[in-house]
Amino acid sequence: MKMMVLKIAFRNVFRQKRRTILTALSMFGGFVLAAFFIGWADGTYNNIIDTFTRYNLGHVQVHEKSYSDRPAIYKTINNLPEIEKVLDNTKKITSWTPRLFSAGLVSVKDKSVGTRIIGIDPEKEVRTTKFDEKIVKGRMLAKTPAHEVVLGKGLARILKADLEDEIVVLSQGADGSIANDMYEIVGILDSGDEISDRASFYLHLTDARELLVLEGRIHEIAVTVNRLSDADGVVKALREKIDDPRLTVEPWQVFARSFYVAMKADKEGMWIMLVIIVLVVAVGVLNTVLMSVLERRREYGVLKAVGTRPSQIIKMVLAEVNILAVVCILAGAAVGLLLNYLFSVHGISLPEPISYGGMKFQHMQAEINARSFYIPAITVLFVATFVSLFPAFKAARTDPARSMRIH
Amino acid sequence: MSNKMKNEANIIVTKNIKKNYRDNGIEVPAVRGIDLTIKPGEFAAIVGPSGSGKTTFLNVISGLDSATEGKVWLKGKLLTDMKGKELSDFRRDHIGFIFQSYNLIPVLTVEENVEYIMLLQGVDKAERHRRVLEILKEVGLEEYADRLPPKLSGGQQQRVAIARAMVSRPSLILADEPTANLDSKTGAGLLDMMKELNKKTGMTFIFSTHDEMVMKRARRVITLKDGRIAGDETKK
Amino acid sequence: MSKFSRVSIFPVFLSLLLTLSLQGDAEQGDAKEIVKKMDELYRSSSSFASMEMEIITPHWQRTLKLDAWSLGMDKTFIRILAPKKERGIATLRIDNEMWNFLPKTNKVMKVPPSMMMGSWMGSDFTNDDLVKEYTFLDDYIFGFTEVDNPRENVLYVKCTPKEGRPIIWGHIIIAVKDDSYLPIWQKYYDEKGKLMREIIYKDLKKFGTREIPAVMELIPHNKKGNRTIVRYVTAEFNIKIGKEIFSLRNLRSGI
Repeated sequence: MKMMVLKIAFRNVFRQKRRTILTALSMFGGFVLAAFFIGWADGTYNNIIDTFTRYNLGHVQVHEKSYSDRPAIYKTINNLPEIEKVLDNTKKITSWTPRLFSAGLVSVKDKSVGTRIIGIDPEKEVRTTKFDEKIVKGRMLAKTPAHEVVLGKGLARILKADLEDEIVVLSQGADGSIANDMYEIVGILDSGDEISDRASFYLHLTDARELLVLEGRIHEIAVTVNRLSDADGVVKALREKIDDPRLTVEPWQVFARSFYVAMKADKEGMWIMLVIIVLVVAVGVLNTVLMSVLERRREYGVLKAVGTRPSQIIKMVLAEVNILAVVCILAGAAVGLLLNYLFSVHGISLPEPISYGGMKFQHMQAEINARSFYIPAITVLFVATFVSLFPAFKAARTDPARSMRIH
Repeated sequence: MSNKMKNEANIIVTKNIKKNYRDNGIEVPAVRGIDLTIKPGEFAAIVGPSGSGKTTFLNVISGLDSATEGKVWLKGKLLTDMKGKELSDFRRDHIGFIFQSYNLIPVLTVEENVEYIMLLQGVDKAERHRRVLEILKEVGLEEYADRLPPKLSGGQQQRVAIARAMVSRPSLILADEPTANLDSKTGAGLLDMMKELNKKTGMTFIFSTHDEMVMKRARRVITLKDGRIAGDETKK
Repeated sequence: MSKFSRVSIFPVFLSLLLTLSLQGDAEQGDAKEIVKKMDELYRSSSSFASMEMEIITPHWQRTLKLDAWSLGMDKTFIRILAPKKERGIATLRIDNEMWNFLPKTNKVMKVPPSMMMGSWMGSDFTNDDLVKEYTFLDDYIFGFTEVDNPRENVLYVKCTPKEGRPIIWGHIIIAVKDDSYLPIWQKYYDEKGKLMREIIYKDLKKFGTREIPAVMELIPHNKKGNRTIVRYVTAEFNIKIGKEIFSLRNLRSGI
C-alpha cells in the first residue's frame, strides 16, 4: 500500500503542470536564495574574521594570565626562548610574533596626543600578519633597531605628521622611570581598523624594550594558524605544552570577544533571510496544495468510501509536496552551488569600502559550505510539510457522502 | 424466526431509518422512516423523483452517512453502531460502490484502480493480478488495463467502476444512479451487464435511479416519495 | 576616575599651607568662612618650594626631587632635579594648558586634554591635579559635619558640589584643628559615598615664620598598594617671583 500511496502522490505531482511549476518555483527560488545568501554571508564574515585575526590580532594569543582583563606594563612573558621552542614544535601554526605594549604621549612639532606604543619584531610581524602590506606610505621598520616608527594612518593625521618627521614619546618605564625618546617616522599604516589606527605607534621591539625598561620581556605572542578552524586545537596543544601557570593561551573568540559577539549577532541576521524564505515557500505551497485538495475532494471521497484510512490520505498529500520539494532542493542545490562557486572565485569589489566594527572591507565573496545547503533544505522541507498539514488533514477528513453530492 | 436470525439471513435489514439534514439551521427531513429488507442475490432498484431521499437512504445503509434515527443491519451486523476504522474496514470488505461519476482515481490506470481495494485488504500480488484480469475480462476491458481513466468513455469508466466494486467480492454492490451520465443505449448495456454479473455471481445489487429504462431491468423496484416507501414491487 | 576633577591637589595643598600660615586671622567663623579665606589667600599668593616626591607602587618605589614655583592661581612651574634619568624634566602650567619639557630629546610636549587624567610623572597625582583651577568656594556648599570616631579639637567640614558643576566627587570631607585650622586629612568620596582617595597631612615644620605640615601623603583607594608622599624640604611664601619663570622659553632652557 505504501507503494500505492507514493504512486498516487508522484503522479499527482504532474497533474496540474502550471500549478506544480508555481509551487516548484517558490521552493526552488527560496532554496537558491537561501543557499546563496548563507554562502555569501559566511564568505563575507569569514573574510572579515580572517582580516581581523590573521592580519591583525592573530588567531591565538599568549599573555600573562591577567593581562587581558587588566593590562599593565608589568604583566609580561619572561620566558620567550622556552615558548619559542614550543611554538616551533606545534603543528598547524603558520607563524607567530612577539609584541610589547604600553601607553604614552607622543608629539610631533606642537601637536601631542595619547597613543598606544606597540613594540614589534619587524621580521616576525611581517611573516605573521603581513604587516608590510598594510603600510600605505613609506616603508617598514628596519630589521635592526634604528629608532624608527610606523604610525597608524589616523594617528598621523591627528598629529599632522609625515614621513621623516621627528616624533617624541613620553611614557613610563616598568621601573617607574619617565620614559622619553625621539624617533623618526618611516611609515604610515592602514590596518583596516580605523579605531586602532588612530592610536597606534609601532616601533622595533628592541627600541620599545629600551624605552620601557623591559629587557627580554614581551606582553603578547600572536599566533596565526593554517585554518581558522585550527585555532581551538592549537590552543589546546599550547595549553598542554606551555608549562607556566603565569601564562594563558586564548583563541580569538576570547581575546576578541566583542568582535566575536558582534559577528555572531550579525550572523543571526541570517535567520531573517530564512524567515523570508519560509514565507515565500509557505505562501506558495499552502496556496497550491489547498487548491489541489479542494479540487480533488471527490477523489478523496471515493478513496475514503472504498476504505482508505485518513492517515493514508495525509501521507498521500504530504508525499506529493515532499517529492516536489526534494526535486526542487536538488535542482536548487545545483544552481546554488554554481552561484556560490562563481562568487567565491570572483567575488565583488565594492565601489566604496564598508566599515564593520571599525574595520574596512571592500571585497565581498561567497563561500561553499555544507551549511548553505542543509539549512535551506531542511527549511524548505519543513515549511512545505508544515503548511501542507492543514490541507492534508482537510483531505483526510473528507466526508465521502457529502463530497459525492457535489456535482 | 427470531430477529437475529432474520437479520443474518438477509443482506440488509433497516428499521425505521430517519435522516435529517441541517439547512440554514433548520432540520430538513430527507428520510422519514424506512423499514426495508433485502435478501441475498437481489437485483433491486430504488426509484423516485429527485429529492425523494434515494441517495440519502443508500448512504445510510452503506454506512457512508449516519442515520439520525433507526437501525441498519448488514449481513446481521448492526452497522449503525460501528464507527471509524471498524466501519471503514467493514465497508471495504462487504460493500462495493459505484457512483454516478468520478468513480475512478484519474492518476491510476484501469488496472491500478481495480487493484486498489485489494491493496488495502492486503491481498498478495499474484492473486491481485489474477483477479483484476478476470474481472476486467468480465466487463470486457482487458485490453484497457493500462489506460488512464480520462482516456476512456463514460460507459467504459462505469464498467471499470463495476469491476472495482466487484473485484473484492463484497456481499453487496451499491450503485447510486450509475447510468445518470450515460446515453440510454450505453446505460442499457451497463445494466444488462450488471444483471448478468448478478446472475452469475449471486452478489446483491442495489441501485438508485429515476431512469425508466433502468427500472424495467430491475427485479424489485422500491419507490420512495418524500422520504418514505411509496411502493415495493417484485417482478415474477 | 573618568571625569575631570576640578579639585586639584597641588593648589589645594599650596593654598592650605598659605591658609595655615595666616591662621591668626581666622575667626571662629563658619565652615564656608574657613574655606573662603583659603581661596582668597591662594589667589594673591606666590610660592617657591623644594620638595621630594616619593612614589610607592607594588612594583617599584622611587623618589623624585623637585623644585616648584607658583604664582597666582593659574601658574605653576615644576622642575625635576633627581634621579639622574629624569633630571631636567619640567612641567609648566598656565591656566588650563600644560607642557612638559624633555631634556633627553630637547623637546617641549604639550599635554593634550585627553591625557589630563593621566598620571603626572608616574605619581598618583594626575596632570589634571596640577592644572585645574581651584574654584573650590564657588563650586561647593560647605557645612560642618559629624564623622565616626571624631577626635577632640577637630572640625570636620563637608564640601558638597553644587548642582551642575563638572565635579567627579560626591563630596569631600576636610578635617582641621579647631584652633589653628591646620589640616589633618582630606577625604574624597565618589557619588555613591565610597572613599576614593585621601590626603593625610603630618609632620609640622617651620618654614621661615610659618609652621605647616611638611608631609602630604596621597593614598588612592582604587589602586591597591599605591601611595605618593610629598615632603617639603624648603618653602617660601609671598615672595617675589618673576613672570619669566612661567614661560615656554624658561621651560626649554633646562637646568
